Amino acid sequence: MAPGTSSLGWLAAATVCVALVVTGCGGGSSSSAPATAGSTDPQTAENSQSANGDAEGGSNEKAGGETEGGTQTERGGGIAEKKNPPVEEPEGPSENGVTKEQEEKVPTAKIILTVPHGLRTDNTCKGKNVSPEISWTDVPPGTKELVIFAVSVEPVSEKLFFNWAMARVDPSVTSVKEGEVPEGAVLGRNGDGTNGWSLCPKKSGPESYIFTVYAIEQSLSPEEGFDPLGFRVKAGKASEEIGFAGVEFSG
Amino acid sequence: MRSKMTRVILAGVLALVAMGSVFSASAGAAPQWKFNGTALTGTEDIVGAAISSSLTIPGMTTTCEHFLYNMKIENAAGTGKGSITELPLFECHTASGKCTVEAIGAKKLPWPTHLTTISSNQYLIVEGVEVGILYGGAECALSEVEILVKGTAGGLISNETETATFNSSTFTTTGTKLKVGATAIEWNGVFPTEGFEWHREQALSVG
Repeated sequence: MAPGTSSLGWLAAATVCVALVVTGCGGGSSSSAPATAGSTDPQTAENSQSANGDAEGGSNEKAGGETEGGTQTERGGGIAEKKNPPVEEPEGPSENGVTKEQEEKVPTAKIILTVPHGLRTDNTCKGKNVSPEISWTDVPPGTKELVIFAVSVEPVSEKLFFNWAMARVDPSVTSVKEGEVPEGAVLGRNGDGTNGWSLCPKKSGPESYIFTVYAIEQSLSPEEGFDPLGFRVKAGKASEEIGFAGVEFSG
Repeated sequence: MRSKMTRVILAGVLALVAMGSVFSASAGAAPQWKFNGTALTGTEDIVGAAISSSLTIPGMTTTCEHFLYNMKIENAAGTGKGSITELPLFECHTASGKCTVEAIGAKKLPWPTHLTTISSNQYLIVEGVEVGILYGGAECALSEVEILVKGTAGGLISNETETATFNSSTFTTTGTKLKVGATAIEWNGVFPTEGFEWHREQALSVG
């Protein structure tokens, strides 16, 4: 969608006209609109009619034409009072969807990544503190290597906390078993300052973690103990597709 | 003898067909869009703004202050159908404060819709949902990747309040899901329905 272009005309008409409908001013049929609950306020009616006059013509013409001669009543057998609140007219432009330019700069979550058993106590420092099993499908052809990250949704000490960073994973690999490091892969430094997996929930309630697998189109070949924060940016620029999985640990 | 047996079999088959049509008529009368109690003929545009709407990727909820929509509806082959044609979103933000919404928008519109009845309740099914989201923020775990929310959404229609409500319960009942990859996404929303063109101010119901 390109709401910034196609929607604005519609939006201008829609917000004004829906407001008119709700306030009971009858939209394009202001001269012949049936009286409804909201239309008794002459000020509102006057403002709405003025706004209606300024609104784009397409929809109003249709509605106005339809209501001439009381066809609404004929069709419906009576006018029902609407129950829903008025539509607020949003201020400012609508959100832009992700543009082609943005799509070219960042990878898109298309690879199907799963954490089949979720996170268990053994995956935390209350247990063995080993990485969970993960698996993925739909790695695009031409991928040179895979990079895997696990990040806490909640930052720790105002910083993004990496629970896991693993690079140089062969693109033919489609899963990593619990606690496993595939042959040839290297581990980055986690938030606790060690290489490999670490997860120590900071609170008793549920916490969420984001797993990503990046399909790198050129070999970046980082060394063991690489800095995941900077490397994630590089990985993002060197890949068009990633896998995404959100997992909650409840303790 | 053979012809008598054939007649008996034929009569049995006809009886079964007749019974089947009776049962299917009573159990599966397809829901239709109605204005002031009369089945819609032709098409109508439904326009509205969500009373509330939020999308939760595990650990992070995204809310849009204004969530407008335009749905074209009709009754085709005895069943309420339609398509969501526009979905402008305004002032979207996350609850975390660490992630900003750099871009968000519906993709691949129109999304086809249809009505269905489950356990005497009417549901609106929206197929082909696809929303692209780009988060930003140095401390955001989801930043710098385009998240694609895809799937089918099922919402409960209330004729009393003229709304469609989407939540985990309605998704479960309708067997629908929204996902990012294989991760289930929670979507909560209450959407009023409002005839915009030919049936303005008429009560919209499904039945």
